[in-house]
Amino acid sequence: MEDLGEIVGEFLMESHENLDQIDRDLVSLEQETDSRDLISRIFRAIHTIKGTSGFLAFSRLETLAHAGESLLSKLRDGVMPVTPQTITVLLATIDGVRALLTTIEETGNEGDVDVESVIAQVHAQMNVGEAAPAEAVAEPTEVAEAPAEQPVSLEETTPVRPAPEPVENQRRPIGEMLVEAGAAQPSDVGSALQQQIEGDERKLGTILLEEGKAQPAAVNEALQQQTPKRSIADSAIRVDVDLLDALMNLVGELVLARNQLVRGVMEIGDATLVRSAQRLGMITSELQEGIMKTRMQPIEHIWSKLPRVVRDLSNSLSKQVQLVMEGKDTELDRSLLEAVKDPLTHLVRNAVDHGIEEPETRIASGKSAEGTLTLRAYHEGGHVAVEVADDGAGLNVDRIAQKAVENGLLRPEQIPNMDKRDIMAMVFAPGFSTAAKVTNVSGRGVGMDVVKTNIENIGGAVSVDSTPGEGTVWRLTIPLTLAIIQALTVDCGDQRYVVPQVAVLELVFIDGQSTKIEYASGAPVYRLRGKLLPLVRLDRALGLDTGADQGVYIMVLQADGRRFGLIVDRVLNTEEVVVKALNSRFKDIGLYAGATILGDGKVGLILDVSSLARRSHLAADAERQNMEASLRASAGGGSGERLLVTAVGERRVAIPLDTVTRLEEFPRDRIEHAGSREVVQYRGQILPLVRLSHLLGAYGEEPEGDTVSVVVYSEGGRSVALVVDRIVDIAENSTTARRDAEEDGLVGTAVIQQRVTELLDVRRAILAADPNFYSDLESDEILVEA
Amino acid sequence: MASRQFATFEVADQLFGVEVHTVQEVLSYNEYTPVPLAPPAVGGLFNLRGQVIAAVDLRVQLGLARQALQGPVMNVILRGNGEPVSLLVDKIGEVVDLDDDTFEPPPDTLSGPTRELVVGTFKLDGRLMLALDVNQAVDTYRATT
Repeated sequence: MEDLGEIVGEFLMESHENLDQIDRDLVSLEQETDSRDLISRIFRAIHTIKGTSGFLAFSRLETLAHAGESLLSKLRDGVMPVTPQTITVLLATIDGVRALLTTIEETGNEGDVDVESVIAQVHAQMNVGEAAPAEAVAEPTEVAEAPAEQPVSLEETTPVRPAPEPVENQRRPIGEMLVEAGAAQPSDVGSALQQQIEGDERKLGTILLEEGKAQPAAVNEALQQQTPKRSIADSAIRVDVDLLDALMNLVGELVLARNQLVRGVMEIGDATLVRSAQRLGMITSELQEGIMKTRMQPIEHIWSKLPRVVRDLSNSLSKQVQLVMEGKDTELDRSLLEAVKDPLTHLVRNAVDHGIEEPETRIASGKSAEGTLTLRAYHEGGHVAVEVADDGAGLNVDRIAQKAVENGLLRPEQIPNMDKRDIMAMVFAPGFSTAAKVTNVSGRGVGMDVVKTNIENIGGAVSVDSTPGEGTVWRLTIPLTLAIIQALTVDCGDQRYVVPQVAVLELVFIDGQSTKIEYASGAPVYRLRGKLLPLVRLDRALGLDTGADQGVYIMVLQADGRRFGLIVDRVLNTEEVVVKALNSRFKDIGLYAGATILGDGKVGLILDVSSLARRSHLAADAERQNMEASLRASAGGGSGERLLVTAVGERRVAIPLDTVTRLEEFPRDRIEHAGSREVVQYRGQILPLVRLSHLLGAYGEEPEGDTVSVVVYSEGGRSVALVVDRIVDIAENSTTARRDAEEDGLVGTAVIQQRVTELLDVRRAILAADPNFYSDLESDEILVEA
Repeated sequence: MASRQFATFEVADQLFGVEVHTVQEVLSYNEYTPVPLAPPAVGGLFNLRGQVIAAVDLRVQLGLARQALQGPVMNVILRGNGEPVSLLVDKIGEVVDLDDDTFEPPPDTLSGPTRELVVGTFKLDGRLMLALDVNQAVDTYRATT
């Protein structure tokens, strides 16, 4: 019976696909009630399921499909109008079919899935539709009432069986097409045909062209028309994922063998062999890439079920929701797609349930009764972003804050100092729900934290932003792991790096004459159309030897809303690369978004543009940026060194910003003790803490709160954290008044923003936290700039 | 008598071994991509059949100078925790069956970085094999002081 097993398996797989399509079609049909195409397509699909289930002796399935088919045929024949009720019944039928299929898949037979009630519903609906079409007509959205009363036209009564697809695949003779288009004379075509019969092996079009009997453009056009358009069924085949994985491994082995061969051939040095080996190399790389791409699927795959979800949910909540999808083609690795599916569904349900308001509320607040839910997917900065945006009421920040306090997640005194977004992010905390009433859809306090966990498990992130009255945007940022991106390959030093192309705005070649790098007090800049563009030397950022200022390229990059130029030695080309996750041991470096296999089989590192900008102290957190922006506006752009101003007790202490790696908040209870030192676990390391208040002998109230603000300083894999009471601002040290230090731990005092501010001796502070901090580094010959 | 199989290799003329089941494969490779700013023990990345593998320089882990990554270098690729990781070694040895009674804890005179990487000593004919703690050996954040 193995053959039958296979047939059943194929039937199941095919039917599941058909059902998904039917779902989508039914939902669309509700919108376009008079679409004959949709009805016929749904009809055909159900008919196929019915036919096959009859053949395989799944009688209950057959009965159910038959019932659905009967109802559909009434719609198709125009005996009954398409109403939301009919659609609901049909969807219920589809669900019944799906339940049966699942049972068959699990147990091999139909089990005791309840089909009778669904069939009864179908029959009831048919009776309603026939007995009282007027009732359906009363539906405001209903338009197709006419056919219900008219005698059915001849054309529509006959087809019990779907009309055969027009045969498109047969090629029409090119001569015929040319003559029809008036591009060639029948007599010329005739003589050309005669030539072919007599043994001329050229193609008909070629003969006509070479004898000047037809225009190249016309022949081309005819040829294009001739190529049959492939239907979806023809252009795609089903492939077992295991087979793909096996192929991927084989190709991998092939790459390795290729590399060995190429090396061997190079040693021999035979020119012909080298050429063949290079060609083999190229083909292998392309093959490898091709196989990897087969694992990619458009996100549409998981979106396709959502129209149904939105429809059912909005109906049950009496809301009107229009679903818009943008960027369906954005591709993700199938394993990632699977992981994103449930969180995404949850966000969509949540948006319909809580985001979009009831029609009356919407109208009252001056919006259209129908809400819009937008799904958006796109590549961004080396990630794939998926957004679920609604135009509903938005999140109520005050309610969230209040709720967070009630649940003990926040303390009341924390609220005024918190960023709005941070408060909104509380919705991701476990057990958090602001829903006034618990519905069966959401609001039970499970969900958002699960969404967060699931996305974080695959290395992604979730964020939410909302404007009261205008809507909410949930954004999933999914890592590129295995995703394919457009990238530029660049040379720096003797290594090749990969820069995601989304971040690249333009390229500038620096010849040293008409274009050149200038220095503003040591900081490299470039005049890009009259405006100064801050520059980052990639070699320097990577801790390599610094190269020349001429004959190099500037890549104008954009990250986190900041623009900067990256100096590289050479820009090679753009290519599509498959992104591989980097081992966790490289995550802390923060400069790399991943790695990829380059065309020559070597590994290339993909640069993380935003953290490159961050590390080069260009961009910072949104907050810090705002500070800088406001500062720039007031200061009018000085070129002094930038300082991070912190509060320690009553005093203001400034730390040079370019020594700062990150600003962090640590929960107070995460501070542990090692000997006499305070430490905290941070990214898999033990981070020594030093309290500036102790170091500087500043006395004052220990600040309240559950978290401490720290300034993290890292170099060469070691980090220390300086604990401050508060981060105040970022300022430029315009050095108006400055005195040298009289106190230990300080290098001096200055007036910054009209207030006396002490300048921290960073080296001293770091040594207080970790006496060995510099000794290792110096032994490694890394220059310490502090 | 219980015995275990060890894959052996040499670094700086010392014979080391790891249990065979921890080893995925052994191969020689000569193109490594350096990772700037990575911990010093990271020798580089390489392409193992489309998979990006980090190579940990065992010399650095033992407190010695880095391997010069020019020309082919032997890799002992360990299955690792979820993802393979490679150890760069000087020379590959044999796979040996060792009885548990040839095992002794590391000698007290053994100190420095090597001490932390080694779980014990096996007495072979004519030479000693140090059994490596696989997890310690590939931990590039281990302080190499």
